[in-house]
Amino acid sequence: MEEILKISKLSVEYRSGDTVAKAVNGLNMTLYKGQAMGLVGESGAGKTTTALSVMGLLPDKIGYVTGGDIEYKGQSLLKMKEKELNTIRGGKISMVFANPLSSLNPVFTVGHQITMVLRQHRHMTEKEAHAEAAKFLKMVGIPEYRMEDYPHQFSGGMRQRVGIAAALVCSPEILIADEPTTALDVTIQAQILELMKDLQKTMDSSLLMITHNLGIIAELCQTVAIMYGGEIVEYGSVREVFENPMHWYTIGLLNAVPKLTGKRERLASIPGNVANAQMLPEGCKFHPRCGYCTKTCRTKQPEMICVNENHYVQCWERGGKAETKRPAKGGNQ
Amino acid sequence: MLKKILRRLALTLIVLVGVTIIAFALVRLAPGDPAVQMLPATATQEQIDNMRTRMGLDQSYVVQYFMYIGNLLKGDLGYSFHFNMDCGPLILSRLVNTAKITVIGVIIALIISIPLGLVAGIKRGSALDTCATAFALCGQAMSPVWLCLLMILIFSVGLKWLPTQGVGSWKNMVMPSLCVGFAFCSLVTRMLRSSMIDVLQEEYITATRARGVSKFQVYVKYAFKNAILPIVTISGAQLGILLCGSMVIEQIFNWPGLGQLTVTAISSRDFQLVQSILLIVAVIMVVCNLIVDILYTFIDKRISFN
Repeated sequence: MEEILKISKLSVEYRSGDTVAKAVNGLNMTLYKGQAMGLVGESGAGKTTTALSVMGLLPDKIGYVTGGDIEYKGQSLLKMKEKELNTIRGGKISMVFANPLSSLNPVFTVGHQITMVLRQHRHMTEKEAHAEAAKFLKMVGIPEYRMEDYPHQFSGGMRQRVGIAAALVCSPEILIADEPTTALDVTIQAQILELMKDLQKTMDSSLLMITHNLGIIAELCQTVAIMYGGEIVEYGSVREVFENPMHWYTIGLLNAVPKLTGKRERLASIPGNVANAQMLPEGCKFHPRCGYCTKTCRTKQPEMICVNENHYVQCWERGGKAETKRPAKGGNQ
Repeated sequence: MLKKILRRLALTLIVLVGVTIIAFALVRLAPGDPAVQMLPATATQEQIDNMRTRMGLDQSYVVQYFMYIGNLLKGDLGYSFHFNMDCGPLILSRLVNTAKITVIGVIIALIISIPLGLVAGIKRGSALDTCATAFALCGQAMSPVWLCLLMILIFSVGLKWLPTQGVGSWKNMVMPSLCVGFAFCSLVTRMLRSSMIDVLQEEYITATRARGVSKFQVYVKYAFKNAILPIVTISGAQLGILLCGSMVIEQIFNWPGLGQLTVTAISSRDFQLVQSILLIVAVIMVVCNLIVDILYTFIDKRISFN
């Protein structure tokens, strides 16, 4: 499989005055062509920061990439000039935002917000862009006559469809979806997910699905990366990770999913709060909340170990038990 | 759209009727007898009574009011006893003078403040932003009296470039225009800066950049159209106020505008003139607000017009 996006040892900080928040800490991740990968974690785990780093859209003078690299087809996105980056953003790599109510410009028609992508990347004339945009809107279930309408004339679900159309209109190779259904109600969520699944398949784009909803991952993705404290703690095929979770954080997450069958129990939750990016703990970032914490966990950062070729985990406690096999070179760490 | 505008105009008419009542009442409530003002101090009671009859002051207030309205409908704004001419042409000529300095001042102000506010908002925290903020603060804090005198001191007394007062050449208009525009300029700079800062934090701006649109285009096209909304409101209201004439600035530069006319009319107790000026001022304000409302619906479709 062809590597399309490779993030290696990425570190991102947010600085404001004297406070520094380490949002992403040495994150490694590889996305292959046509693959759908889920990125899961609690709020504050650094998922959106990772996405914004890939897009080169970290907030000015607040967000800084302090280390590592992001490569798109072997080219470093971080070293790229703004102008070059603009040919990739929206054209090769595009993003669907979490809140459809705030991610469309209120004073431009939805038609304009889609045609602007085409005019930017395909250098189409107004007329051509209009026709192409209409085609895509139809694809997401919005009739052409609504192109002259403004975002406020659409419902939340419809707006997210517009957002998806704008993201896919140039057939990007990578689609980053940052919690695209969080702001929508449950029935609409299913529709939007179905739509994304179909479009991703027909366009053969790679998908990076950011969510905290494990159901969405199971539905949409082949691989999943569990994120905690700005790093990936467990990675593997969805089947492997969900059926045989190794990291105690993943186990906690899976236990927190309410079940429809079996005895009624109190909802399980992971004790404590998500790691504070301003005061990250030493050693394993999860150790203050982990019930199986050992002495090593408190002092030393664990390394990613290979459980089997479809499953990697970063945990001292598992490191002792699982067969410790270094991942093959070039593979996911 | 046209229907909505017409409906709005009808509402405006009601406002104007209210204004005529208030203008009429205020002038009548003011102490002093206009007839006495008109005549020399030695006038007899008989002469005063005659004058009152001529001016219609012997009638009841209700009759006086309807006489006033009747004249208005005929297009007669009354007669100025002080200037010895009809109020209509008098006010119009003064309004034109005020409009001259206002329009020039406002255009200069917008030319300076829009780019300044825009860049200050984009480059928040930079040296240029600090300068722009300081400028805006000065403009808002400075009293126009002081500013006018300062300018006269520099440009007329010191450099001897510009005349201190009067009308005639373009040189006479420079200082009044700048004084009129200065406060407006700083107001727009400050508003646009903060409005731009707010808009740039919106998610739709990040989303627009995520579509590969260049920073410049995002700022100038996509953010600006959102940031300009509060500026339109403020500009409309300010333009109305400025068109009614700055009493201080026009008085200092002896500029024969509406502001100066208002001062003269009040101090000479020229009641018909005061009444008519009040009405014209109200019309200007109402029209400016109407224009703002119409403009608004074009820029932001979320605002429906009713």
